[in-house]
Amino acid sequence: MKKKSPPDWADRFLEWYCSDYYLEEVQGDLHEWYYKELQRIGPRAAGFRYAVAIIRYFRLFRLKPVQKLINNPNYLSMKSIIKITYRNLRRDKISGLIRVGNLSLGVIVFLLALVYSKYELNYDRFHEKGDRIFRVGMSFGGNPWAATPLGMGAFVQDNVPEVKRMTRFAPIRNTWVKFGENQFYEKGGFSADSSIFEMFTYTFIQGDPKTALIDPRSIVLTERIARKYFGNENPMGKRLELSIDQDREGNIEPRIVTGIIEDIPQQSHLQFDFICSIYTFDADFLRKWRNFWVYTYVELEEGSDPDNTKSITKEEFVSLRSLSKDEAAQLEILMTPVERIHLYTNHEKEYADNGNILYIYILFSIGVFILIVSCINYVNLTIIKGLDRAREVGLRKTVGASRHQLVMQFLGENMVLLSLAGLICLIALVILAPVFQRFSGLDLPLNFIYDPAIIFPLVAILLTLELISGLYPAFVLTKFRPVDIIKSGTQTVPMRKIGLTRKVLIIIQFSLSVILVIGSIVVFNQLRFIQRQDLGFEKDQIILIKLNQSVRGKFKAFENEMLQIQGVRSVSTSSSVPGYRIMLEDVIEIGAPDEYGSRLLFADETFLDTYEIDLLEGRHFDGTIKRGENEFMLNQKAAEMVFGDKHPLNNEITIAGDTGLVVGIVKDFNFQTLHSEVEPLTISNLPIALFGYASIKFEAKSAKEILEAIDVNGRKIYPELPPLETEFLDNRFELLYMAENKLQNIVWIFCMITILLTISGVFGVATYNAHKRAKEIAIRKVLGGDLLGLLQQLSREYLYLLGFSLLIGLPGAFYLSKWWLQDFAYRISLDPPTFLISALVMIIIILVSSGFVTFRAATANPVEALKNE
Amino acid sequence: MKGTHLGEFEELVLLGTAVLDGNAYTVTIVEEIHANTGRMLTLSSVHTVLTRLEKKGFVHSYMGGTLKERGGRRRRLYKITSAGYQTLNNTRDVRNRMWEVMPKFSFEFIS
Repeated sequence: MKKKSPPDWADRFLEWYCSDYYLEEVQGDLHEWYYKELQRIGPRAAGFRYAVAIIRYFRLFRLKPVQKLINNPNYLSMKSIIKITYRNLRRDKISGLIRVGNLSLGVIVFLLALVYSKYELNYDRFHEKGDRIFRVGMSFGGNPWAATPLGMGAFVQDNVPEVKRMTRFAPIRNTWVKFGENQFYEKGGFSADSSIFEMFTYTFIQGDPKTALIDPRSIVLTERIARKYFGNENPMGKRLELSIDQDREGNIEPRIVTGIIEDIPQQSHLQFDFICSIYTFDADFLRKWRNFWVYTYVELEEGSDPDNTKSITKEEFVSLRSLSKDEAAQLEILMTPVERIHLYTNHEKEYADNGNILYIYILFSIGVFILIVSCINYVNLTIIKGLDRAREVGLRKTVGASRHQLVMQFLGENMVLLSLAGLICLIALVILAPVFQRFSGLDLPLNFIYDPAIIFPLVAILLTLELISGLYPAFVLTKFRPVDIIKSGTQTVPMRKIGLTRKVLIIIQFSLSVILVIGSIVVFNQLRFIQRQDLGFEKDQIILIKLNQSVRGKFKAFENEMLQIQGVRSVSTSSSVPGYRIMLEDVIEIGAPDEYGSRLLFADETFLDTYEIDLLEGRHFDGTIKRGENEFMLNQKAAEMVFGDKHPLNNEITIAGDTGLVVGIVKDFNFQTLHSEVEPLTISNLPIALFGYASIKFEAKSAKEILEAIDVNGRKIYPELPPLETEFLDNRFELLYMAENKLQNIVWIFCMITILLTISGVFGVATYNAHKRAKEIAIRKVLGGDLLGLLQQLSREYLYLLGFSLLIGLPGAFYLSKWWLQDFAYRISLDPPTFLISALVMIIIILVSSGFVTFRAATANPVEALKNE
Repeated sequence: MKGTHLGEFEELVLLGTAVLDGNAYTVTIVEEIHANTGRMLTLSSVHTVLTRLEKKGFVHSYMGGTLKERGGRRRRLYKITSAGYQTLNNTRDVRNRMWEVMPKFSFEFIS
């Protein structure tokens, strides 16, 4: 027979959880009991009961950590600290509430700003060689371009010793991609050199990064796209058929899948769905320095300087285009580190809508300011609260508390409050995360509370506050001889002893508040200003239809159909439209020596009517286009630039190789966003093949009918195509100003938070002061002091401090606002009323919040304050 | 005041401890109560109550000798303190007093 003993695993569980203090007796009891039961009910039932009993023994007080805590020598003092903190908080709920609430609010705002900034700053950081990868661009006369000609990449690869690798990204925007039954219209593709996967860090799921793009017929897909076409099949080696829309012959190009990579992280300016090999272009074409349309990235050798690349490339370009000295001086080769592209560049032909570092600065500095304001509130209130306990400290000292214990007491109490605030912050962040995500539109990781970028700052903030607001009163108070404190009968340490520290803190706080409030008003006004500016054309009630090769062919028929529809006022086609980039070309007056850069827009004869752009002089295109007979209209800026004082009408100009007469001058209109000024613009009546958009101007009420008509006619005329892409122009502009819109909202909220923090800070200190001086107030009242005089007496200190703060805050706000505004081409002027009103608002806020408290104290019955002596 | 009141279960365990005088520990108390009332308590609940009683100062404990079945593990033996004894007495007094003043009942059953 087997030896019977209690089940081992149950014993191990007991040994795991049970503290040593109880383990011996409990295990002994259980074993004894087991053997008794063994006699009665047999081994299996006894073993089972044994296990159940062990589980039932599982109680909090028998657990190892709990016992450890209870046996800790500091357990008692910890308990008493928590208890006393609780009592103090209960006695003065308002102060506790203000302190914890204020701090949590400030820290939350700061952390959110931090998370957002970190996200934006981390764009393109996942490339392992990111510090050595640059995007090469060019700048002409201060106008930077993101795109380069194809030949530049080939040139730097061959001629610059520092360039280790080079890859070009040639966008393939509109493409039909087909696999068996699955055919979709794809817009996010690139052709690239085979070195792309050795330079950039994209994770391969299948395929070999080194060889994936060497064959001209190869294609690499992202996981998402691969799934879209192949489902669960293995895509490797499969044949896709591409028909690229720009290709006029409509050729079908076969591509073999040679690699699958993980989807591109959202934090990258280079977003794509698939990459083809660039070697489908022939070798000559790949060395052409003609159009600026590809993005060239180079990887430099470790530790090398990009300047050499710049000068070699510049030399080549100057000699290729035989530029004059002056022109060469205007030319600059740009090398933008890949990590900086998202936030620091917004060049011509930029592939993505990039972010703006200025907005990050604003957001982050507001976050920091609010944090400081709230921390100062906390420190201020905690210090005066702490110093208020002089008598308690004196008494404790007298009964034998050591200095160490007293310091611990203060630190501990403070720690309890701070932990509470920290907890509130974390909970609030979890709750706010989805809201914040929706608002920012970013794929911020939801579990961002585990992010060290949050936990470390949070802990650091709390520890710093712990040190300042806990140690300060602790050391000030414990320094005094208890006899002095108790004998003098004052509850508190004389204010002038700590006056300076507190005053400086309050001045900093008020100054920051002033700066924040003024800054918010300036930012708010500026953002509203640029959105309300007259653009010079009508952006409402226009529907855009994107034209590509397939649509363009039969568009005339479509247009005629649309013009039959009730509510359509006019239809116009053009190469681009306001709100999208318009190409930049050289323009020259025939016979004149100088060339100028001008935007070039191809448009038909209804363009001006559709957009309600004013024609100042001359005439519109008349709609009869004859080969070789170009006509141009210039905007005021372009007319002035090319012709100066001369009258421009009926003079000949050449732009992009086309020569023709200037027939009209149009009023300047702002076809970009209002970040930039109106640029010179030439409108040409020529080639219809370049028309990229159709704009339909409609009656205000018929938007729905028109969208339906577009759909119906689209299906009739283009039965083989997907539905036409439409967009409302005003939506496009809203999108262009989205960053501003969001910032405007954020700034508004932050401004409110700042005011709230300032009020509660003043309120807290004022409440305390009024309480301290209750007797004084009462006596003054009894002796006949009037209410106004009392208010004056008690508010004087704040006004005095505020005066100082305004001296710092107003100039500070002025310079910060000025610095921020310089980015805008159209900006509000910083007029004194903004500042005066803000200063006045601050004064009122401070007077009202301190006055309210004082008023309550001053109108109280003096007996209440005086009777308990 | 907290701590002087005895719950029914606590009273039972405290009585058991007193009865077993010197040989009271979890196992024996469970058996004693089982023998007297027929109620089969679990070891863990008795142990928990003993810990609570000790915290209230009604019993005090010390580590005693071992038995073979215990694998050499010592027992925690419990002894009733005078405070515990006092409380038990009080409890009984209260009952007795209330019994004495209770009127005689004659129950009429309604069928």
